[in-house]
Amino acid sequence: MTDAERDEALVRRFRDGEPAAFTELVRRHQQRVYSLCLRMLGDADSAADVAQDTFLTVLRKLDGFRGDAAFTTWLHRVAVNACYDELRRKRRRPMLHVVADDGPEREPGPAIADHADEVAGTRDAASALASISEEFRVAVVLADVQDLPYEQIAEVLDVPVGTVKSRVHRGRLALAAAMGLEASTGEPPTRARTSEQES
Amino acid sequence: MSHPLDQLAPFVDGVLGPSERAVVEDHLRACARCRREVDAAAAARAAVRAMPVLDGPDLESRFAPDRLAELAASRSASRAPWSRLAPILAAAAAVALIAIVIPRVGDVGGGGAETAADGLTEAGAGDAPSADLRLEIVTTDYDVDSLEASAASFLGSGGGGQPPEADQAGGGTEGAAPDASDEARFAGPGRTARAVACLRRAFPGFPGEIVQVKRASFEGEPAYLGYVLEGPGAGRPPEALSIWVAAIDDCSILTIASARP
Repeated sequence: MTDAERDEALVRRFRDGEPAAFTELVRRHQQRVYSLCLRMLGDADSAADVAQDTFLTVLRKLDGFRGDAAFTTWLHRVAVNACYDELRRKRRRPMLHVVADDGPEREPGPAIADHADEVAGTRDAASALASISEEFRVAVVLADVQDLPYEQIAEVLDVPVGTVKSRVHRGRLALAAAMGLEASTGEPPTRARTSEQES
Repeated sequence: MSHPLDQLAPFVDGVLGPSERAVVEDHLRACARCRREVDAAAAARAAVRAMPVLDGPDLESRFAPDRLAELAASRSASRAPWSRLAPILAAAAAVALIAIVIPRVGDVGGGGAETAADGLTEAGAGDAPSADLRLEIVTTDYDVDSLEASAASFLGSGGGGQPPEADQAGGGTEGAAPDASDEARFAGPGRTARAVACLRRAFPGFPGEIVQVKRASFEGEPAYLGYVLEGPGAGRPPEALSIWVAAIDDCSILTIASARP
């Protein structure tokens, strides 16, 4: 039985009245959902909340899940939308910042000081990811964190496959620019720079 | 020269078929720009994939079989509000220490702490609500989005600096969509003072003047909403409007929303 078939079987069992089947779905997918949220939001606390919200939404809407997409595709779509909601909430809260007595204000924005930063060598990638546009970030996260194929990313984001390929490439270029990875190659990748300005 | 933009990500991922790959390789031999892009994209891809997989919360326990019915029936996300409020709570904690400790110096044996809004009285001269302020009782159940809309609408309607009495006759105080269908009622000065005291207790030391106060609910929980203008005062335009939301039950912080002109 493939992973997809196992998910479908669990969805069926839950609909047939077996609550433990949903708990098993959570067990199977919680790590991937959390990873997606963490890399989209750049903040461990928010990621934990949004991952939980994602499964809460899935729990409430599973009866409406028609099964015309793979469960994991639908789950990723719910999680991405939950991340967008959280990012929107954060943008709308300009007052939620702390004024230190002895230092400048910390401006709100993508929180990047998550526990990933404690792991040597990861700060640049996590920080850079949080700094690029959401449109590119989601493409890169789905491709390189979640390791989804282009076709599935297209389904999650409801855009053509060609658009996904373009966004993944441009997102990687934006990330490379943010990390300074293109510095040794001479001329910067112009499209990445343009894309960031657009965002 | 046309660049195979749609093919560069699959090329970097190594998922092109042999013929497509050969086409891209031919192009790369002739195009320095695409070569640089491929190098940069490959480096970024490697950096992201090298990030560790970090353990998240134990959601399996939270979604245990015997909890699912309760979770599905709950009307809002079950997340603890505290994680969202960590920044303001951190700021509040420092101020609260001062606000609590100093008055207690002269308050030995002065009775136990109040625990609910109904036990609160006017919170000292500095916090006494303006005589113009009256507690507006509405049935609106706010969420984060409608609070933000209400804050923006309050500012947009010129509510900043305006005492609310001009609005009281009309029922709605700000023209905000969430309240448009409400038939507002207004409580007397005693309940108004208790509401203000509850908000001040929930948000100790937070700056600003409460210019409007409501009894409503937030995500299903009975709540006081304080519309707070922050700014220079002295007739000058406010710099921001915040809506403080405190639980009526225990005067704890539920959330805060804000808008700037």
